[in-house]
Amino acid sequence: MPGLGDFWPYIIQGLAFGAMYAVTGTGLVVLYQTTGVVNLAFGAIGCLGAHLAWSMLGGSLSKPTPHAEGWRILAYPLVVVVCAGLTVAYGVFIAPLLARRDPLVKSLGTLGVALLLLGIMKERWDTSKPRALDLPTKKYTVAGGVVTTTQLAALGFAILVVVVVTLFLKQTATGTAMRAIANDRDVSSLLGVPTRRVEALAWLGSGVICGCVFLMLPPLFKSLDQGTLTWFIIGALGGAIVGQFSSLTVTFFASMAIGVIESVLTPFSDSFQFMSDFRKMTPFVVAVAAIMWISRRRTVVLAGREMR
Amino acid sequence: MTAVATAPATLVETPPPRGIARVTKSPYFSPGAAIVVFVLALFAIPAFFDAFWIANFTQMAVFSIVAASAGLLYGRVGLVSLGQVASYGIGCWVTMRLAFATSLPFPIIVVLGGVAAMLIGMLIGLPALRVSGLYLALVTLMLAAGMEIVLNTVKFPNGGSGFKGVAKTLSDIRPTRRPSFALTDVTYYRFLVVGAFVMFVIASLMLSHKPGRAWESIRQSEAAALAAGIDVTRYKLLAFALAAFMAGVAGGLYAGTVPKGMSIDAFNRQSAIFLIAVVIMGGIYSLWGGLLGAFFATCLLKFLTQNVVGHQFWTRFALSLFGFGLLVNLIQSTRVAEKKGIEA
Amino acid sequence: MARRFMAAAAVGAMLLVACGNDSKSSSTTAASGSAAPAATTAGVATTAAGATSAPADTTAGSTATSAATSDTTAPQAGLVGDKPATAGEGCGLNNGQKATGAPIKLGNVTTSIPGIDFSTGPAMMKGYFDCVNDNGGINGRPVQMLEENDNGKPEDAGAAAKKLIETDKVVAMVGGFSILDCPVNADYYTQQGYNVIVAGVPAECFSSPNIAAVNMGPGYSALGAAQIVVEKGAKNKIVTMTGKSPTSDYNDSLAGLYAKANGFQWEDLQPELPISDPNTIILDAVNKAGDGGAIVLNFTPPEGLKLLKAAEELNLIDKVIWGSSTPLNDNSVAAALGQAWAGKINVNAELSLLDDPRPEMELYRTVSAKYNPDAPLGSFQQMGFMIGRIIVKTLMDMPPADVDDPVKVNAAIKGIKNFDTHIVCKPWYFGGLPAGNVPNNYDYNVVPDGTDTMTLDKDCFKIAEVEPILTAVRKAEVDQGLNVG
Repeated sequence: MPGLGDFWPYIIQGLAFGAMYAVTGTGLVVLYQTTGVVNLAFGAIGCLGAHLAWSMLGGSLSKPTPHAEGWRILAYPLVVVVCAGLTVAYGVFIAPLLARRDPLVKSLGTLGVALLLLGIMKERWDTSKPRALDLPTKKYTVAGGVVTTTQLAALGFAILVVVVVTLFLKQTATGTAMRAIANDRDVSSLLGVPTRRVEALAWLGSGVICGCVFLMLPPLFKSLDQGTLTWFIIGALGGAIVGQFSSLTVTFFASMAIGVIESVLTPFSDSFQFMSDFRKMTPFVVAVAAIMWISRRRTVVLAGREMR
Repeated sequence: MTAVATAPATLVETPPPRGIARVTKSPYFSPGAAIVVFVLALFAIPAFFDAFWIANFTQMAVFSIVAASAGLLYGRVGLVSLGQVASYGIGCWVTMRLAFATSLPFPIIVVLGGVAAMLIGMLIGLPALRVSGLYLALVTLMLAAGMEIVLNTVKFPNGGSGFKGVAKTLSDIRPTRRPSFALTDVTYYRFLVVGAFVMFVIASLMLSHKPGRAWESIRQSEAAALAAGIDVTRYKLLAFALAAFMAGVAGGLYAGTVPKGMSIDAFNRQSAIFLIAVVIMGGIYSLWGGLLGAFFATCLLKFLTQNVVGHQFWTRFALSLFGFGLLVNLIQSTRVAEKKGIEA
Repeated sequence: MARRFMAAAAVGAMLLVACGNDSKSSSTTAASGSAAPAATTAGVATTAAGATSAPADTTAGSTATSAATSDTTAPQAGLVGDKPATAGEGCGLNNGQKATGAPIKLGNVTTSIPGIDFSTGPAMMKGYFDCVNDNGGINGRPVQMLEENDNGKPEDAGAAAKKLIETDKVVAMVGGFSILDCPVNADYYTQQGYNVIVAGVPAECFSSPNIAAVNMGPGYSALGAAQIVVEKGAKNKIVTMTGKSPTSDYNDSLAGLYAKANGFQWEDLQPELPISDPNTIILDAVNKAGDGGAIVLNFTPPEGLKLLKAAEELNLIDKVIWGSSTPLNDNSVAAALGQAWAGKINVNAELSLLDDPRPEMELYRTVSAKYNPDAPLGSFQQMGFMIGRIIVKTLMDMPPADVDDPVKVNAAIKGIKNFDTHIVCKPWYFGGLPAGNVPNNYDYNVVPDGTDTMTLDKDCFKIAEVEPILTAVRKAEVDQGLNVG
């Protein structure tokens, strides 16, 4: 049984992953509130963007970890551009075809896109070969644990995103429009809110967030792994579910907690070995427990939208 | 999806369906066609196909049960569960464990595997009853992902002792046994076909009686069903139980197709998502959809890898095909629903 | 009414299946089994393809020592130094004439899925076959390779073997590189009378009487790495790591036996694959190994690299002694590791180095350049090439009329012994031993040189006998003169 002080390095790692969960969760929640779609292709789109960047940086069999030289440094912003572009393209061209359906069907559509992109990636980039996308990073030793700038950036970015998005939704006209649409799309449209444009903006915002997340995730994972990156979304749903797809603050703290718990359970061994063995279940256990708690007295309706 | 008022039935007579429509319009598992397919599967396939294709049809038979169970939940009750692979895995694990630990007849332990999956499915179904639609899909996806971790950690029994039944030394490892009357690949295939047939019969029996009618009401509108006096909770639970039982039995039958070297591959989160794509492509409204979807995912795909382009391409690209197919299906069904809405 | 009819039909059908006996039954999977443990990690592979290695000490004529291991030092006799390769200096008959006539069909089951692509091995074997077919074939007839992909699914592995043996009627199964073929099909091969030559990963490839591998698999390879880290001064505890899979307990078990037999504490860690939080995992491993302890990795290059780079990031390189099984013996790994890891990780190598100057390795490079030019040189390819050499020589030595008879061909395969090849330390043999076959049981140790190459650190040394299979194998080698060269 490790001592209390031994946990500090694990907490640091956990905060970084929790931050990634939190940012992803924020992107999912805001998009859902505005459009009624849980974008399950978030991971696949981000993964594709990261792979394109890897190729652009000159990655190959003999150069599995390419570094940015000269013009190739454009690969990094390319990730954000590709992710935003693909997300908006789906939102503007395909999502309207399913607009009249319930949120479930709309989200299943994104699942189709996720599978589509995953197959393309598997065909184009053979995953049996090592591949990594690094960000330039420095190390600091803090209280016996090593912290990298990437981890700090992840944490900082998560806080920034939550604060900015919350302020955006509360203080700006577009944000208010998004909240109106979330409340009732048809009435908002009648009141003159440019629903199509606002929705497109929501897709764009979600795509930009996706790109930023997938700039930081590969360095944290230490590789470009198609399966892990694509299905990262499943773990990130945990925090969003706890927040009931409505509260960004709850989503943030739940996601951070999930990340930290998952990490902190690692060093347990002997009679507590099972905690280490099953730590990857943390997001799922938390999400299911949250639902059982929330629904103990009433039927749950997702974020105020009518379920049909 | 809400009920739409139509003109009083007495004023307009819809002409009786003609030709092939008489068969295809039947919403349930049409008995005549079912018998024909069953007989063909049982006799014609082993007669005309070699060992390789029989192995593929074996997989199709097993997978069709899982696909039908997921399709039944979605198409007939309106509940999207992405967690059917969890029941599939539980059924497989329990059957394997009982195969080593007991000498009960194989069909019994398969049923016990189904029962175990059903009980766990119902346990999990209880909180899930209170959520619907998208939330349910997400929760069941989480459960499937969690079960993958559990199965991967606990590992599959292979002849050892103790609860987990994982062998400690190399010499303890034994293959999962098969029923004494179905030891060969062909006889086991036939056993599977019969098993699948029995599962489909059970499902369609329930669909054509009171549970099916209750599910149809629930699917149309839970509130209306509740108002009509239907115990929504009980029937939803029943649906989960049936689907979990079917998937669990399928898992038990699957265990016999892979006596050694069982892997987590069929039960992971990607399989869970792949399954829903397969089910939607095959068609969720009719149980035939389970068969068709299974055919796409096993035999058709295998045919393509053998004869068109090349192995690796189809293995990798299969995901894209099904993803694309899923999307197209959803868009198409939206168009159809919208058209009908306009006409009505 | 219809429902009742259907129910009756179901009952009747079950009676039919119960009572009927399928006389056309094409195959049986044995319900009773013995031995054949199932073990593999989806992520563990035998060596991965890599680029050419840099200059290294060659093995020609050098002595092998293993002073600190618990086994006696390896005798020099029997190592393939200057002895000529049994299969000759060229491809087959080496006469420049194209082979004609009905092809001799050989099959293999290979895993080729995203994350585990072993197809480079059989591809090189085919390249060798092409060279043979351009040089007279097997006494004039061409060799044809039929490969089936198991897609990483056990049911597909089973179906693939049946297709090759019963539909395609191959005379032998050679050159399979699969994570599933051995556990799923070992009993089927026994029942069909096939003696199979593979590049093995799971335990069944080494514990089945009728399967023999040209490599030694993750179990023995990790054991070899454990021997080295002990020799390099590990203290107190050895931590082994491999990816969690339904059969991953085997992968590190032999290293564990060795650790315990030599007074070390042992802990086996099995993180989920693919690894998504390498920092936490490697930190935990190093803490558990303790200062001066040892960590032996058993992963494919993508997974292993994640952990090693995390260790570098967390300043953990010098805290423990590092070892690894064969998959990390790959120049792309050395390139990815860079200067920080120069000489710091001991990677077990099952085959001779890629720039070994001996004639058979030179032939390998020539054939690869001409018949398989797109793929970089690597150990999977070496294995495929070696298997090709073995089967071609075996077929050529048979009476021409016999090569279409699977019974005779498989009997000839079983009788292979003292096959000198420059690709592994000792002459190769099939064995057919009841407890299992481990014909390749001597290893090298290589380390990254800080730039982009793996270099030789220790020449051929003997893998320790910590369990009954290898003990029985070594005894049989002596008793039956299987690899005296």
